[in-house]
Parts: sequence; C-alpha cells; structure tokens
Amino acid sequence: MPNPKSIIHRLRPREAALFFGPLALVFAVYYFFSTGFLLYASVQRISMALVNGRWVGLQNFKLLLGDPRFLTAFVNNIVFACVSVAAALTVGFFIAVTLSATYRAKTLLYMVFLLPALMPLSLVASVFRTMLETRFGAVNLFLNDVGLGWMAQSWLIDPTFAYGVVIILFVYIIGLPILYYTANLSTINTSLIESAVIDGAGTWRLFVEILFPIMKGTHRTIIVSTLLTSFRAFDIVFFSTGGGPSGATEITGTYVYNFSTTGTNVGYGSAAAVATLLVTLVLSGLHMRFARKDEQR
Amino acid sequence: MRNSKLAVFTAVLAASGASWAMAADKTKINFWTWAPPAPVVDKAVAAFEKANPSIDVNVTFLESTAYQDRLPLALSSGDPVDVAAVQTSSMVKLVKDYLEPLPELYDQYGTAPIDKQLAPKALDQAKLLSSDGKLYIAPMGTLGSVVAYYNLDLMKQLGLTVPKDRAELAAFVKTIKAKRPDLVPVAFTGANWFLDEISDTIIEQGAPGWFNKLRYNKGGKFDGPDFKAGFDATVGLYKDGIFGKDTLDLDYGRAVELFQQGNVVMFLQGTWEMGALSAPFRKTNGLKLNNVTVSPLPVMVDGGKPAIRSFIEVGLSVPKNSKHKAEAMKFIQFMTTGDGVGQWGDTLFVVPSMQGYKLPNDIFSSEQSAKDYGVVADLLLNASSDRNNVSDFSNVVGDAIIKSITSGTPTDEQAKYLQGEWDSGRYSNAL
Amino acid sequence: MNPSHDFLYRRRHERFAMTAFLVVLAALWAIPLIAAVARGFAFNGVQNFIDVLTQNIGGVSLLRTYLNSFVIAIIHALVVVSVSALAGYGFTFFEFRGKEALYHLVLIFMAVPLTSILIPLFFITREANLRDTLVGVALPEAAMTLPFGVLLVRNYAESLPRTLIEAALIDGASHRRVFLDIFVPLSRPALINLGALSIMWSLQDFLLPSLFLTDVTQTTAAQAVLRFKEVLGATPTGIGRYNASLVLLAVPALLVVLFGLRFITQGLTAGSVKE
Repeated sequence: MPNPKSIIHRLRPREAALFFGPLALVFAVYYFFSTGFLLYASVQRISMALVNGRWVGLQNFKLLLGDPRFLTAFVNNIVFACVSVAAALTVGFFIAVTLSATYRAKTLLYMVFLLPALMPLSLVASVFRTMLETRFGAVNLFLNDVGLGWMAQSWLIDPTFAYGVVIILFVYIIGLPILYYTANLSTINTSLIESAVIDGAGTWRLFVEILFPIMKGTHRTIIVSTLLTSFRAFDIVFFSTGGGPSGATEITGTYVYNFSTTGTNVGYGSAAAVATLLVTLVLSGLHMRFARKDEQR
Repeated sequence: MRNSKLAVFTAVLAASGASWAMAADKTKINFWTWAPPAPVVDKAVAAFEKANPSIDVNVTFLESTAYQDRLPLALSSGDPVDVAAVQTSSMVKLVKDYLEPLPELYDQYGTAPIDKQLAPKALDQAKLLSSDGKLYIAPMGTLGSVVAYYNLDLMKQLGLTVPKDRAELAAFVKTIKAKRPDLVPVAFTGANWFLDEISDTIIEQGAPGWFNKLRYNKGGKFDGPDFKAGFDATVGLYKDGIFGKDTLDLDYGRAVELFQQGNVVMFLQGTWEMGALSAPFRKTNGLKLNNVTVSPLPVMVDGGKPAIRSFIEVGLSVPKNSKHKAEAMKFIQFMTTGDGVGQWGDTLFVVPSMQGYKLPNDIFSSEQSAKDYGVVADLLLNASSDRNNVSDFSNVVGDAIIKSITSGTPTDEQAKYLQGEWDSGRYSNAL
Repeated sequence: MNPSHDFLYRRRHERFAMTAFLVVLAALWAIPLIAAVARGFAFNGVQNFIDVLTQNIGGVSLLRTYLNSFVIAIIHALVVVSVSALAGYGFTFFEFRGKEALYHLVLIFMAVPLTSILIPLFFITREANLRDTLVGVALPEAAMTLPFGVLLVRNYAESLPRTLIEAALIDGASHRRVFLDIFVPLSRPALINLGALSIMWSLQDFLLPSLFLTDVTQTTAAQAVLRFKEVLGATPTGIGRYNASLVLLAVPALLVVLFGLRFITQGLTAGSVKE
C-alpha cells in the first residue's frame, strides 16, 4: 500500500462544512444536547412535562448509588455481558467451525442459528416468555406430557430460574458472532492447517492451538460488539422477565426506562441515565485505548 | 400580468366561497379521549350527532399511555381541542392551566348547575385532583379495585357459592383442586402493580381509610400495623396455597383470556372489567362466557369488612382556547348526564356519576348478577379510600410483595424498606 | 463449502460426533422457532395466518406494519450512509489538527445505550415537531448507528488505492467532485454493506417506534408484537392469530437475512479486519 500520507490535504472551511457538517449536526443534536439535557434534569426533581422543577443538587445521584436495585442492575449488566462473551467465544466458535466443515444442510443449519439474532428481539423474548409460563407454557406442558413433570418449574417466578432464562436468551442470540467467525473462517490461509494436520495434530489441538489463536482479531471484535450489545440489550430483558421477579434480572436499561416515562420522577431517571452513560463512555474509551496499544505493538 | 391577476381573483373568489360555505355548514368540535374503547366512543358520538344535527364531532382517539403525552402537548401547543378527556391522575394538575373552570361554564351554557347533575363525591374527587380546589373536569363515572369475578357455571357444577371471607375462600379453593385439578381456582395478573392493588384492598378491609391517610399525607405509614397486617395477609394467601404461586407469571391479557376460556373459576381485577356481566357488551365483543357475577374481595383479615378503593375516571373538560364552548358543553352534558350515558353505560366500565342514574334492566342475564352488581356499585360510590395511585410507587410495593412471596423476605423488613423508599424522593410522590 | 476444512475432522467417528452434536444444538435452537410456528396454527390452522394477513388488528394491518418498518429502515439507512460517507471521506483524505481526537470522540459514542437518552429524545423530537412521524423515529435511530458507520467507511476508505483520487485532485477537481464521481462509486461495497446493516438494525428496533409513534396506522413490525398482544388473545381464535402474527412479524427479518446476508457479512468483516 502506498504511503497513506503521500499527499496531505488541508481542510478548508467549505470542505469542513460539507464533509463534517452533517455529522456534527447529528452529534450536536442527539448526543451533546442530550448529555447536557440529562445533566440539567438530573439535578432537579421534575416530571416529564419538564415544568416546575425543583433544584436538588446531587441528591438524585446520592439516591441512585444508595439504591440496591440500581447496583444489582449494574452487576447484572456485567454478568450478562460476560456470559454473552464467554458463550460467543466458546459455543459460537465451535458452531462456526463445525459448520464450515459440514457438507449437508449447511445453509439450513446456519439459518437456524442466525435467525434469532436478526429478528426483532422483542419477538424472540416474547415467544420465550409465553413458552415458559408455569401453568400453561409449552415447556412445562411438554415436560408433563413426557412424564418429566417433576422438572417443570416456575421459570419466570423463581428469581434463580428467571436469571437462568435471561442468560439462555443472551446465549440464544449469538448468531452474530457465528456470522463473524464464519466470514473470517473462509479467509483463513489453509496451508497452516494442512501443515499442522500433516504434523499429526489431532482435532482438539487444531481447535485450541491453531484455529483459535489465528482468529484473534475476530475475537476482539466479537468481544467488543457483544459487550456493547449486552449493555444496549433492553428488549431481551424487558419482554421476557421485565426485569423481574422484583428486580432480580433488572439491567440498567430497564431501570432507566422505568423512570423515563410519564408519571415518574424524570430528574431521578436522568441521573440514572447519566450514570449509565458515563460508564459506557468510559468502557468505550478504555477499549479504544487498548485497541490502539495493540495496533502499535 | 393578466394571468396572475386572474389567478388572484379566482383565488379570492374561491376563498370567500369556501368561507361562506363553511358558515352555512355545521359546527365542528374536536373531542380528544382514550376511553371508553373506540367503538363505544364512536357509537356515543354518532348518537350525539344525530340528536344535534348542527354539530359535527371529530374524535381523536389514542391509547392510554400515548394519551398521557399527547394531550398535554396538544394543549400546550395550542392545537384546536374543544372537549378534552383528562386522566384522573397527575394529568389534571398538569393541564389545568389550559382548562376552563366548569361551574361557570355550566352556569353559562348548561341546563343546570354542575353540582345538581353529578354525584357530590365524584365532584369532590375531581376538585382534589387540581390541588387548587377548583373544578375543571366533569367525571363520567367511578371505578375501583379489587373485585372478584366468578364463573357461575363452573361453580354450579362444583356446588360452590361465592366465598365471603378467607375461610370460605380456602374451602372454595380446596374443593376446586380436589374435584377439578385442571382448573385454576383463582387467577389474576401477577404484575407488581396489581399485587399492590390487592394488598391495598385488604388493608382497607381491616383499616378503612388507610390509603387516604397515606396518599394525602395525613399520617399514613407503611411502617405501621395497618400496612403490615394487609401485607402479611397477602403474602399469607400464597403461603397457604390459596393463591397459587404458579399464576404469578400471568400477565393481564393472559389472565383475562384464561377466565374467558373457562379455565378459571375466580378472577380478580378492577371494576372496569364489569362489562363481562353485561349482555349487550358481551354481544358486541364476542365474549362467550355468559354466566358471570362480581363480588367484593373476600375479607382476608379478622374483623374486616368488604372494601374497595374507588376513584373517578375520564373527566371531560373544555380547554380555555376552544372556540365552540357552547357546543362543547352540550357534548359534555350529553356524555355525563344526558342520553349519552345510555350509549356507554352498558359497558359497565364505570358507575356513572350522573345523579340518580338507573341501569336498564335488560343488561344483566340473571337476577344474581344484577343484585351483585348493585352491591359493588354501592361500595364503589361509598368507598373508604380513593384509588388515587402513585403508579411508579405501586410497582415498588408490588415488587416487595413478590419478593416476600418468592424469597420469603420478612414483612417488617419490607415495611421499613417501603417507608424509606416512599420518603426518599425517587418517586413521583415527591414531585 | 471449503474443502480444506475436511482436515478438521479427519477421523470418521470424530466427524460423526461433531456433526451430531451440531445437529443437537441446532435442534435446540430451532425449538422456539418451531414452537412459535406451531402455535400459529393452533385452533384454526392456516386460517389464522390468512386472517392476520387480511384483517386489521387493533386498527392496523400487518402488511402496513411491514411498510412502516421498511420506510423507517430506508430513511435510517439513507441518512446513515450519506453522513457516514461524507465523514469517512473527510477523515481519510484530510489532515487537520485534532483529527484523531475527533475521530475517537465520534467512536466513543458507539456504546451509548438508547435507554439512556430516551428522556432528551422525547424533548428533541417534540420540539422539532417530529412526534408521530416516521422521520422522527428514523433520525434518532440513524444517530445511534452513525459512529459505527463512520468507522466502517473510514476503514474501507483507508484501504482504497489512492492513485485515482490523487490524480483527480492534482488535475484540479474539487473535493466535492472527487467525492461524488470517484469515492462513492469506489466505496459502493462498503456503502451497500452499511445500508444493509442499517436496515437490519432498524427492523429490530422496538423502543423508538413505540415511544414516538402514537397513531395506530404507524405501528411498526417490532412494535406490533406488543400491540397485537393487547388487542388479540381473549379467545382461542385470538391466541392462534396472535401466534400467527408473531411468525409473520419475523418475516421481514427473514427476508433481509435471505437476501442481504452477503452484504451484512461483508459489512461486519470489513469493519473488523481493520480494527
């Protein structure tokens, strides 16, 4: 590749406006104004109508950090994120690799794994929810029918099981990492694999010592995008457990949402939103710092 | 040049022709609402237009949550609204500055003063909502919660009668479980806000007026014996198997569905579901279950009495900048005390606020349901507390109840926690 | 089909075991899908699907929800592609102080969750008189996708051979001309990828349409899940119809996957390889 800085073009005002103007406009309105707005609202006690607000300083933030439900929500975010990433790197990886070595029905199998991740998540979570109803849900009815009635549980009512359900949902949508892996698998230099096989490497070694390390770039992308997705994953939790029972599966998204609609203390909701925003921005910044370090190495 | 002059001339002619045509036309008024259900609104509006051929009513119908945002926006933006239905919650305080006080309007355009037309308690609750003691809304009716609906056919099969207290309810549930294990004895939505409603109703049974004391800051506490008794009773119903934990994951729609399908014997909800008792309502909505009755919630605390919390719903108002206040007034009177009441009355979603209103006899399909309705309607109009919920907080109370049911958290701990939350300032009671 | 991956499972029993495991996994994954479809046939069989397709549910027809979803998705994609293309060009072919800092500032917002900016979004959409418009939903969606779009375009642009562009600029063409006549055609793969991704994400969005669209006729497919649940479902016919509608609501996503998979894959990998 020729030296990318072969010709340096100075940015004149007219070009700045043309090329960066639209971006700046969207950002100014939807990101910068939003952040400012949130900060403004978070130091007040105010309703959605945004009139008659009362200044309360940092009280909303103090309340926020003192609310065990918010802290639980935060921890849940991290747990769900880690589980998603772990599942993507293991189960997702395995599925992608095995798929690439399969002949028959490859496309069909691929579709099955991919579809849930590409459908509206509200849909996926709703279907799960109806299937897991204690009394009349498909899962328990089926278990009863095949004589495994003792296994039928209150999947959505018991906090532990509900937690499990949400985790399963997060794993259910690892279609995108599979997509990534599959796309990159087809670009692998096969000579590496061939020589390893000739050297007598067994399947396990192939997986762990050769294939896995080769895809380091993909791993990183998947880690980032899965982390991001899980922090943004509102639909999944909202439509399956709603954050319940009683806040057991709450994530920051559902927490903020509960305080962001009509008839609520929007000042407090803004404080929660600011806190969440801060954390995601910091995480994002950290990741970029590490990514840059990696590149420079 | 000539062409443009001609164009202008034609335009002016057309415009004046249009305005002349409009003057000879009817008066058009804009009616905004979210309730009762759209077909009912359309029916009532059609009847009004028939009785008032010179008035056209343009209906803007929105779903409840959307309405909460849209109406205040429309009023504050100056959109043309002539009759606005207001939700009987914090919405009244929010929009009252845009509304015309009603007593004066009634005196000017109405057929009688407002306090001669509508029930006094309803008007008191209406004044309460505006927090300045003035009356801005004319309530269509009153509704409340929690009541119990019964599938009379199933009960007859099983030889059961409507339970009046906890002991009878326990026997009721036991019989059903023994004879028909495929049925759900008691079903209702396990949503957190509804569990709060149940608990509040039970508290009112033992300590009438508790909720009002809490809500209007007259000394009601969570961390006190009255609340704890009701909370304990609610959790206890699950502990003793009277309410099934397996119904906690039902949502509103599913519970209704199961009842309508005949899988449930006793169904708990608010009085706004009373349409199930009305034959015309059932016919319009294709409801198959036709032998239903309603009754106050069985008394769950010792020495308690049947109770309900009730409140007015759907308050009709006239925005200050309406240009057709006389017609708006006609419409409001029609809907609250005129022939309009008959149009929506058979849905039974509220007990009309009209003074001296009598339901037509052919609504009910049996003597029992007519009598039972009378009992509930009476209780509604004389409720011990207002069903004036702080909706974001009811979710919190409900969650606390659910937590105690599923994880066994002790009542005292929850009561202290709830008191702390109530006083914290996180929720809209602090606004 | 990649023949070299034969080597992965050389031994026959290994291949068999692995494939069997894969099939089991696939069966597990497919269960909810199958269950959903099966429930769609409950009580009334195919009639459910026919009813749902031909009648209005809660005031809006299923096909109309598809239309609404697609309109929003296309507006979203158009905004994202155009703004990203412009900014991507800007970041690649210009030098100025603070360029990388600005770039990182843009990227850092990729992590912002939608729920966090809901409250200001209400305010902005209201003040701009965009409530109840499809554009009012597409614009915030586009804002959420933009950081990724800029990343994608810039990565692709950096990998383009610069000779054509340099030559044109030396010849005296303005950047505007170069952008329109050279850059855009050259970047077509990346731009189409970005468009396809945007459409896919937009179809999945539930929150924004449900909060900003109140007119029933503007319901989108993702939103319709909730709406239909409220409206149908008090009778056996209702349940069957609701489940049929769920299946049909997944169809737009299915279509995008079937026809757009190629673009989506290229788009995602183009973004990752250069990171």
